[in-house]
Amino acid sequence: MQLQVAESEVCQVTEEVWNSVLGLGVRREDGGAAAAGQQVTGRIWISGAWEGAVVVCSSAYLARRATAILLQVEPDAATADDIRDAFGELTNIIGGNIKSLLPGPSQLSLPDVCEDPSAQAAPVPAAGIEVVFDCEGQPLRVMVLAEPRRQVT
Amino acid sequence: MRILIVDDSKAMRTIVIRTLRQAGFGTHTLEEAPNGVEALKAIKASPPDLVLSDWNMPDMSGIELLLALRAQGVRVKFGFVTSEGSLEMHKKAMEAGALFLVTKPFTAESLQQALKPVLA
Repeated sequence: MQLQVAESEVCQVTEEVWNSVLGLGVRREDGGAAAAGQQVTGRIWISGAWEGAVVVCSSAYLARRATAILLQVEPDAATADDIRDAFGELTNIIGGNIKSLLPGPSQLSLPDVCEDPSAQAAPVPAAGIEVVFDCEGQPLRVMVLAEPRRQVT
Repeated sequence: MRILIVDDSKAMRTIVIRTLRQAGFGTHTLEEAPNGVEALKAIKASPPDLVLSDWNMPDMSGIELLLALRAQGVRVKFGFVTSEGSLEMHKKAMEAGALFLVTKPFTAESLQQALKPVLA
């Protein structure tokens, strides 16, 4: 399955979503690597004319901050359920916009969100792209992986 | 006027409500449903003036909700607020009876543009 979206398009979508939904700027880090440590990962699958996944991964700190902005609460007041909901929605918006750039017709799954207290940044498979950003000193990664759902880990 | 916001994400319902207020629709009664099943019950019990629904939801998607309403003769005004804004989605939405489809991320201006003609 070929990847039919450019890094620049992923970058544009992420910048637009992060800026318009959260009011936060992101800066692309060319050649940057995501920091290890506590991470929140949102994943959404696309199936149909194109099969693959959009994965959004940030530090736990940034995920909590984003949640607080969306819900207009103090960061400490955001619960784990709030963070899963908010980060899932951000993944949904980024994924939906990337889906519009890919061959159709296709369907978007519901997002999955997981928190990993000690994640290491996993290597991106060959049939995938990764764009790494800095958001006010915090890492944010957006990946588009061209693999059928059953093979995505 | 009553507007029912249907989305399985509490965060997104919060954003929609906030943006509706910014767009000048804050004087309307803004109600929420966390999924299509609850929305269907609520609409049949007391139809609002407008339904603003997400597309992708568990158990009953937004398009399934709209098709169920129309199949049951409920002609409530309906619009989508969704992350998927392709031509294919627009066509599906209009064919099912939606009046508009607003793509996320949206602004107060885009909501105003979509809702003003409908609520006029």
